[in-house]
Amino acid sequence: MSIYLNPLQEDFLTELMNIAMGLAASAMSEMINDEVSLSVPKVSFVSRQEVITQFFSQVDGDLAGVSQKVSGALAGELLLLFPSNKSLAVVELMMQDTVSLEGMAGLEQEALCEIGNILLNAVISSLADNINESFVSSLPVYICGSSSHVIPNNGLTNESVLLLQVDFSFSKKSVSGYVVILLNVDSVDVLLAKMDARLASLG
Amino acid sequence: MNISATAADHPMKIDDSLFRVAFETSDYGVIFLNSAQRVVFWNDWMAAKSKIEADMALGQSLLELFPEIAGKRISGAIIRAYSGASTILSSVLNKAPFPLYNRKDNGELYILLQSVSVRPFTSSEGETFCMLQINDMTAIIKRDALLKEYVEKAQGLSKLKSEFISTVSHELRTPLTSINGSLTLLSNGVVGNLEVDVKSLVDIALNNTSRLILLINDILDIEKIEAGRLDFSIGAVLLPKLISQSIECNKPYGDKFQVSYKMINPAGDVNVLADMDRLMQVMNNLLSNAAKFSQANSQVEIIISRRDEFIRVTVKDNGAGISEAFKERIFEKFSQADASDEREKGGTGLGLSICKHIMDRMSGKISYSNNPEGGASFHIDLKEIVS
Amino acid sequence: MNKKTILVVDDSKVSRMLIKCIINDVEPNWIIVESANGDEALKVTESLEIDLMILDYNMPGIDGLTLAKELKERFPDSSISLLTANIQSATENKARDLGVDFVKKPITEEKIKGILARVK
Repeated sequence: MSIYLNPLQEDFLTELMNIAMGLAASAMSEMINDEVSLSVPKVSFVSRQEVITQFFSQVDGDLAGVSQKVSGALAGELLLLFPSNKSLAVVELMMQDTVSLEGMAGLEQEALCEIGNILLNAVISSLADNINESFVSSLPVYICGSSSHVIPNNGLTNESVLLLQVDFSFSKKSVSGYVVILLNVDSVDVLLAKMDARLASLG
Repeated sequence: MNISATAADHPMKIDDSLFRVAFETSDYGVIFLNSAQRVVFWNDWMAAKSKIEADMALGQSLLELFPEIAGKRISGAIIRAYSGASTILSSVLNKAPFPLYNRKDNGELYILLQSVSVRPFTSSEGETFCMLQINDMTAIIKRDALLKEYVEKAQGLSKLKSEFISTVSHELRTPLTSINGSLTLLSNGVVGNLEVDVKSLVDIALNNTSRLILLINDILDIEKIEAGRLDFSIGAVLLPKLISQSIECNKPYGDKFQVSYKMINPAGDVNVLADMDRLMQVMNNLLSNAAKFSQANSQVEIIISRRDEFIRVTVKDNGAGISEAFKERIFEKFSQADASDEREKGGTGLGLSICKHIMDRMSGKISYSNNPEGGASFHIDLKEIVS
Repeated sequence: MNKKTILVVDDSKVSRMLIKCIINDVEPNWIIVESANGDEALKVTESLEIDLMILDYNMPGIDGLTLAKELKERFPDSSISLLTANIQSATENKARDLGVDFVKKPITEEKIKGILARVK
């Protein structure tokens, strides 16, 4: 089980994420009628604890968003996250509607789930397509809380995962969010093998 | 009931047919499509709401049964399921993906607002099926909309109330200030010496206008606090000095009740984080309460001490202590230990509530305890500033 | 066969490798010049004649469209394609306004062939 990505493999994964997020950003941009700027993808092997810590230091307060499980060649979790005080604003933007009161979050959570579902499915399906693999994704689940609550870990925070992350923000409104993919190390072997084959064919 | 004794008699496996019955009769719609996207399962709920019976639905595609779904998100979701994606169509963003109806009590048909989930399942033989689950969200959405309407109305009313209180209080204060002014001049003999009987009547009037002015100020303060409009300028305050000033201020009041004040400060010059005027307001309130409720000829002690990173000021009186009944509402608005008692001694019942708000704003605490030797102690905790 | 010079600008080495590979299959004689960013590209093309440019959009330094504008002034007869993962309509519109061809990643043989056909 290799825990090292060589520069070409990292480059390949970064490009895959760029393409996948490009699709998701395009869908988002249409929903909110605004331009979406994307960060350079983060690609690395880390422990789940490191992901938790990174979010803890990067975001003030709780996170809210949507989580989906993915299985098949790419197995792990897909997350769409926002600072929790912005999550309702995001739903408002997407619905282009004035909504929401603090705590009246029943139906807004459902709407956020659907938004997350659209974006995360776009991302995982692009990634899978580009490596000629299939995937199965679960229904979205609303998540909210501190980063250790929201980043899936089942208590196994030392577990290593392949982290693929892109930060995004909306140009007009001050909303920033995160797409986080955590892939189990087992499934990553398949991914790396596929990538190496492609890279070899390029000479 | 002895569970372990009967365990051996009951099956640990559940028959698969029970699952089928459960789906058949559930209170939400369940549809299964085979790999050719044709209906292979259509439960009772679907039959009832769509008016399409199971034997009519089996073998058909959803597009054949509901032509209006062509090109809509639900169609895309079904196709994507065969590629492995699970999809949710929330009722918020998709009102009614399928034409499903209920009947109101008056016989009128209405369309169901739905939440639909679409999921793939692959059988052990490798066949992919698509399962749709449809929930009726009509009642929930209606209730949510009603709730929002009510909350908006309540917020509107609250705003009106705030404005009303502000306006009335200001309107009342102006004439009262004039009355107070005139009576003060009269009482002080500025326009001529008053006879004893006359002066005592004038003094009664003067005291009561003062009380009214204090009440209006308190009401305005509470209103400002609740609307979040009370301004604070928080800085370093030299505590012993402020307490001395408060004692000076309240001495005449204490004399009325034959109560004296004494500061006990082993800590020397201590600085705390506070708004000077508001802290003075809290101290005045505690000192006047202590005098009101102390026995005559007793001493109220103001003790400065250290508790962890806080500086504590304890105002200790010799009165009756806080009763069990009063404990619950001690910091609430308009709460007084005994209404009749209070009217005799004066007071608005707003004082402790205002104190609590002020302490909260200054990141401090207010609490109380009954003294073992009798009487009550009120404690305020403030953050220390070490220069 | 007319020998053409193609400039490929993309911060991803893998993308550049893939594009080069496909071009070499279709037109083995054509010269391919590659750069990892806009500044490098401008330097490297100072003393060359470029017939076709394939540019990424999101790169460190100047973005693909700003680079396209500069290169278009230098090589007015050349053909420019923006090959990018950033497929939002805002980007597409900007490209259109500049007269730059807009192609969505992922990079496939078909798409590269389509780009090459524009300059033959």
